Amino acid sequence: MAYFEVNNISKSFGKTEVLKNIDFSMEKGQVVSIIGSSGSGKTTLLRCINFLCEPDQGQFHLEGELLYEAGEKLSDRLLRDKRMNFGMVFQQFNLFPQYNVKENLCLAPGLLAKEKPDWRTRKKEILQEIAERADRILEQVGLSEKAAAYPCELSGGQQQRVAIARALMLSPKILCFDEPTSALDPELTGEVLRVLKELAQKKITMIIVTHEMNFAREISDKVVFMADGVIAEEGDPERLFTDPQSPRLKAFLAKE
Amino acid sequence: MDFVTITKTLLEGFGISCLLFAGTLLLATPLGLLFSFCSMSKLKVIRIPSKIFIWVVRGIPLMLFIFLIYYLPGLIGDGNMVNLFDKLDLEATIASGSRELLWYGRFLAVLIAFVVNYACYFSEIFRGGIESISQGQYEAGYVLGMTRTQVFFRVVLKQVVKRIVPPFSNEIITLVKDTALANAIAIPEIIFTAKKMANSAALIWPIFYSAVFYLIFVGVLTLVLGRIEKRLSYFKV
Ligand SMILES: Nc1ncnc2c1ncn2[C@@H]1O[C@H](COP(=O)(O)OP(=O)(O)OP(=O)(O)O)[C@@H](O)[C@H]1O
Ligand SMILES: [Mg+2]
Repeated sequence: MAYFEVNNISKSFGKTEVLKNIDFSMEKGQVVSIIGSSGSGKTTLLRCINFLCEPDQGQFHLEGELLYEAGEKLSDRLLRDKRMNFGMVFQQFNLFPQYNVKENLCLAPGLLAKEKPDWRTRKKEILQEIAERADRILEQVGLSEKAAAYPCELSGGQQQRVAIARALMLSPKILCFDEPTSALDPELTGEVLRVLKELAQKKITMIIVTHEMNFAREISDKVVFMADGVIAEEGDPERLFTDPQSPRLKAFLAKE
Repeated sequence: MDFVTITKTLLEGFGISCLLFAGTLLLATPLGLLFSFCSMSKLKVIRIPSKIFIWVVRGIPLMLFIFLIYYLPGLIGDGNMVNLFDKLDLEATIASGSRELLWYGRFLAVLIAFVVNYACYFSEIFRGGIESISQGQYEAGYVLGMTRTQVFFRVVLKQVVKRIVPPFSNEIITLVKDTALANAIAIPEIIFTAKKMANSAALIWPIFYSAVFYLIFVGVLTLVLGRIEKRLSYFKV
């Protein structure tokens, strides 16, 4: 069984079927890119994976075990535990504006640490560990000097790198990206894509929704092409981009 | 009557104005927050009555609302039209042996009217502030493993506060001046005191002089609120 499996996921909003029997799987350490035209359901799929939106039907399997089955009612606590297997980086960054960069990174890990049994006795050390981890991750995304800056003082590319760093703080098993460069000026996409490439080299498991075709081709182990709520074609990036089989993918690539 | 005596007398009246201001601010803020949650509730049985209630209260002149609260308990009571708040004042006056009629009962009526009225206005400000925060902020919190409560208090609240400081400032400056309406049921606040002086000592200028007290108070308030606004200006929402 694969590391992560999406089985037969469907989702409708009212009468519009946005996802229709989506099936795909990936291995640990792989990068899967999802491409497809606007409205094809890419964001909805990522939102379902991150438990931000409830699928009508289907299952997720992680590490060979059933993680979630549609219709299952989860308590807030269980929902949170399951959700935390995943990380999410949004198109609009969604940094917390009132916190500086480092606080953005440390807020959630700090709150989680409070629930641990050793919090009372080891409070100082735990916070110290979190702060050191934040420093390491900031260095990784090249933003060590910006630790004390507020989001409004950063460029879009820098903000997105902070968002990536923030997601990395919790070491999710699978990190999801929803068009991480779409809100950026063209000259700023490079710095974000570079960070993603480094993460791929470190064998971080990632699902990336993107419109950057060259990037998807270069970084991915597998590309999934979505059209109107179905996976119209998927496979090896080289094959998919050089020899598309479905007419829809051919048309999509011709446009891009 | 000399200037100092008049100033002292007016200041006493203004103390009562300030009491009404502080009481209203203190009580209407949490009540307004409660109303705003009710008016945003997913449950229709809570949301619709709250919206109707807010509409009614905001649609009635505050002066009328004061009369309503003041007379209503007597009308719906045992039917003999005894005014509950006057009764309280009479009993308190007799018990204390005071030569002047005490006003605590009537003050209670005015306070209730002010608190309910301002809670409705505040609730709309809070609702606007809360609804203006993008869904993305909540979702960013959730995917980082925060609970709903943590997201509200750690992520959303400060942004809401920043958003609502300007309209809220406006509203409480209006509140300062609205306290003058308490003179409608003979609460000895500053305007009432000034009018009384005008009648008894045939002095008209203390009425205009009372404006100075309001101006100073509003001035101080403006400075404090400006401070708060500035302290929140380090980030953008
Ligand atoms: N909350 C919602 N309520 C109703 N319809 C929705 C909702 N969210 C998404 N949709 C609809 O679902 C469809 C797929 O949307 P989705 O955002 O998943 O597409 P996408 O592939 O991410 O597109 P894009 O490339 O533009 O981001 C669209 O037709 C959209 O209008
Ligand atoms: Mg999308």
